[in-house]
Amino acid sequence: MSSRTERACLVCGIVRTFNAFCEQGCPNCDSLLNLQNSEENVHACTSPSFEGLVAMSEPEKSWVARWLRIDGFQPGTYAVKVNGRLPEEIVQSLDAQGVKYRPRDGSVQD
Amino acid sequence: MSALENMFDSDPEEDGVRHEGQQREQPRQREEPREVDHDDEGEDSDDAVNSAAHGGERSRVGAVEGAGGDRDDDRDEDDEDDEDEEDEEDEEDEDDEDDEGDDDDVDGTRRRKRPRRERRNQFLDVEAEVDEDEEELEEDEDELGREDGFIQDEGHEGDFERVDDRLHREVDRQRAAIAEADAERLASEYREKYGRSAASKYRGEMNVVPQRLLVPSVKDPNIWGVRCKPGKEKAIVRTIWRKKTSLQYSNHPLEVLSAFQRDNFSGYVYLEARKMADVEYALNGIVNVYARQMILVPIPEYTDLLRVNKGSDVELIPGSYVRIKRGKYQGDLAVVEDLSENGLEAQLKLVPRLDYGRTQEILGQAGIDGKRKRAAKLSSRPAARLFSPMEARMSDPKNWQQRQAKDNHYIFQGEEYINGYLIKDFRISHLITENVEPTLEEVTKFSSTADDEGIDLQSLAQSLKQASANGTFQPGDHVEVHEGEQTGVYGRVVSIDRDIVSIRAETDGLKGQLVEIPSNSLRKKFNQGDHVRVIGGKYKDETGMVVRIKDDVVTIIGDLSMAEITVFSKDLKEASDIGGRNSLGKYQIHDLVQLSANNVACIIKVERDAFRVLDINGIAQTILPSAITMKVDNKFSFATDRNGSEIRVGDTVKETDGEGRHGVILHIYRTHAFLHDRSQNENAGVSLVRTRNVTAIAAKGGRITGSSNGPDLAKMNPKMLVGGNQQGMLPPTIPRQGGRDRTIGQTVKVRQGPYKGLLGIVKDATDTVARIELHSKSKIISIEKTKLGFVDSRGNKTVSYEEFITPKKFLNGNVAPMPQYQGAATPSWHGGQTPARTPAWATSGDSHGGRTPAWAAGDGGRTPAWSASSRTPAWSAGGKTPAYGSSGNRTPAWNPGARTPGRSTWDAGGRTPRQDSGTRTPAWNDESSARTPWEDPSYGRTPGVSIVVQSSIYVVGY
Repeated sequence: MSSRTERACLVCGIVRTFNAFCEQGCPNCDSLLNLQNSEENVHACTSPSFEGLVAMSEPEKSWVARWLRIDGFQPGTYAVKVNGRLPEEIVQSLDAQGVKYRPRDGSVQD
Repeated sequence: MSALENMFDSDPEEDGVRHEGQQREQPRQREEPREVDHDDEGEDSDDAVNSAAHGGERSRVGAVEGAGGDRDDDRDEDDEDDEDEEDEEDEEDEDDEDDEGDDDDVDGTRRRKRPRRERRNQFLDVEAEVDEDEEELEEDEDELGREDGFIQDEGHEGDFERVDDRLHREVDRQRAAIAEADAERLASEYREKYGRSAASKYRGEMNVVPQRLLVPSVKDPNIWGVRCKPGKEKAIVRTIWRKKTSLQYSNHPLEVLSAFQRDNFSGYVYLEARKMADVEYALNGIVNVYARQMILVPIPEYTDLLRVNKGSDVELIPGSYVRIKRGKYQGDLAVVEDLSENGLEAQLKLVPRLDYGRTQEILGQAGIDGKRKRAAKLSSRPAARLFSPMEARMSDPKNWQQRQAKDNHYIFQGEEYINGYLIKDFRISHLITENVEPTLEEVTKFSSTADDEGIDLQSLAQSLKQASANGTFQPGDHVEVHEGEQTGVYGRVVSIDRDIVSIRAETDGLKGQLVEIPSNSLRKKFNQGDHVRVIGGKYKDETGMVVRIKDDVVTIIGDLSMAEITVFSKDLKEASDIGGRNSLGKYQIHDLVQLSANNVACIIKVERDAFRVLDINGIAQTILPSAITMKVDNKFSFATDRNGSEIRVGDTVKETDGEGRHGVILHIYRTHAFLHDRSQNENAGVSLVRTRNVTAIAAKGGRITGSSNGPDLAKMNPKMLVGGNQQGMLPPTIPRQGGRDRTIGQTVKVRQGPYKGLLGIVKDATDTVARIELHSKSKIISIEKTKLGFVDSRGNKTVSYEEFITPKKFLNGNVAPMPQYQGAATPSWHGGQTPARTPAWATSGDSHGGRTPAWAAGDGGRTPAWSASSRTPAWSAGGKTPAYGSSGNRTPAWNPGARTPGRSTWDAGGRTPRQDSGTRTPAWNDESSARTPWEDPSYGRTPGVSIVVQSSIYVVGY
């Protein structure tokens, strides 16, 4: 697995290869982002720049998952920090669907 | 509903069926609002699906339909819809029932119309339709509420016909709408629907829980940190993940909840688990992990492990400046033109370094293998300069291609050149984006082409600011706020706390108040005419006066260079001193330095790492400090000017011919003098003149030079010098003698100092110091001659040095004093008078006699007296002049007798005639007249003085 082609989802932070995103979409957010079969969307909604690799096997029980706010997601490898942000229009459409987008680039602290 | 529509509605109803057109129009109107409402709902609940298709109708309806009370209804409907929609998602079938449930609340009219709707539902199974019906109902209800009876009647009458018509139209329109809707819109519609129902699948948090509520507690699993091989952390995490998935359904699955690494904590992977054994099991068999070095992370530190810091990397935007980290353009400044989609690459504009195949040629000729080629490439890179299409074409025409002539756009060897700049994509990881600090020189390279609109100072200032936002201000600086709320406020810096600068405002409204401003919205404020010093950059240490200010850019006129310098205001500081850089290494400005064996030069300007010098040939050149052999120290050198008077360093002189330059002498070197004149610009005011071409104007420290007034009278004036000497009480100067030193070989007795009393033999001697081999000790000491007593060859009698070297005849005690003095004075005076002064020096053993008569006379008179004080015994032993031995006698005789009359004589007759006489030095020049005074004592001033002195002394002494 080459890290060159690996990307992290800007919404949930899951890390997979570009091709995996294209072929299977994001296991958590594909309902929102429709990454599957859309290279364009994958480009827009995932970032090649991320830091901190987390192998999350049991998100429900893990404090790490809760802290990273991935406790509701599928098991998988996640990034602690994902550089980059979703395009504005996608953020808006997420908003319309009642999902508040939290950038994972460290710019939001709470 | 507006009154207008009501009219339309009511008219046909009252009159029954009147006109086809009107009748048709009516139901249409009835439908239209429905359509509108449908649209509204669509916007609320779905995408604006149909808006485009029905835009026309909509606007028409909008005109007809007043805002009126419908709004409220719409809102009610929306609420209802929202409720409905939730149900719709999963149980569309129940829709009708739901609606019915809703409708049950309403009055009978509504119920009556339900069948109609049901009928339609049989045709159209579209979820939106449910809403439509409902609106319609609402509208109807509304209308009915206002106009009771009519509609009911109307409803009864035209029910069938109307419903049919409407249904047909409806179906048609629906079809049309669906047909019109392009695939994309449908897709988005479906996506919307799907998304809506799948939203439950997105299991991310909908409501944000503050992270502080998530802090770990003891109930949470533990986190172990495990040492591993640095650089392998990610691989290990992935391995754990694979292990976990592969053993998931085995008998012994991994109990590790998660594993992670952070780039900040290199050499560690962290595992989250309940038990340490789980961690050990998980790590069992994984390479590069040192499972023995395992630490349990304290709970409070969990959050630190997973802290997400905002990237410190500067956000790159087109126009910002960066530097290239490696490669041919290492360290070169570049401008970001564009950023790639994925944020990994940036298109940069930079000044190309091309050699147009020259290296290739050389290497090709040499036939060197690839390795060496690369080495050679690295060792010398071509200078950065704009792309030259001509040269490129000459060197490699095959790979040369012009894109657009007007844009000056070329492709050469696979690279793109626009307007002479190389446009190339670089990975951002290969760029330096922080602390770029572009210099003005580099930046001007990017603005040198004609079509450029000049330096983008804004972005330049920005990139400079980010580099050194703080540290440029100092307490006391005059600053001005140039952005933010406080724009325009100015004042003095009081204190600085990191990025926050406190300033004491001096603006009218805020006068005296302390304002805190972030340093990056401040800039230094200068006024025209301020005297400033450059504290950074190429012109560091230069001082000058501010002549122009434009925002951040200040132009100053250098004090020394007299040239305009443009610098950023952040690089300036108010300065009271002038001067700038005036030393480099051990050399300073205006030093005289040796360049070669026969060339010296005067440093006229100190540059950053070079000197500007004016050499002895009058050529100004720039040299490196290494070119200087040494510094020439000739502080005490002197020369004679055109008039023969003495000039020294520091004197002010004027060139008599040539350019008429004048200035202060910096250095005299052989026949040349370096002058410095502040008012001159050329060579920083330093000029080279021949000493023969200058006349002295003023001597340093008021030293009198003869240049303006003829010969130095003071030196000639015995009276002045006598008086002067008396005050100064200089030790007697020992007369010098020519030839072999007579003292050598003499037996002497030390009369002063630690060796006092010891006998010795003079082995060697200089003018003043003798080296004596002591008899008592086997040692040679150096001692001043005057401290020696010379043992007379005739006996034990020791005589002083002076006595020893004075010609015998003068030491003869029997000689009458008068002739002695006369004798002493006359030859020396004579010698002094004779055309050449030198003979006088040489011939006379007594230098004083040679110099001035006054000295001769005075010395003659004084010496004994002097000796009397210091060497009384010797003197007395000699028994020559007992009278002198008595100091009491001497003093009155000396002072009143010698000086007072002398003065008067001087004032009365001596000076005036001489100064008035046309020739400057009658006594000197005219031998006869000079000598005459001596022959005739009644004539001339100086002899008179002498005589007075002598006579008074003698009167007292004898």
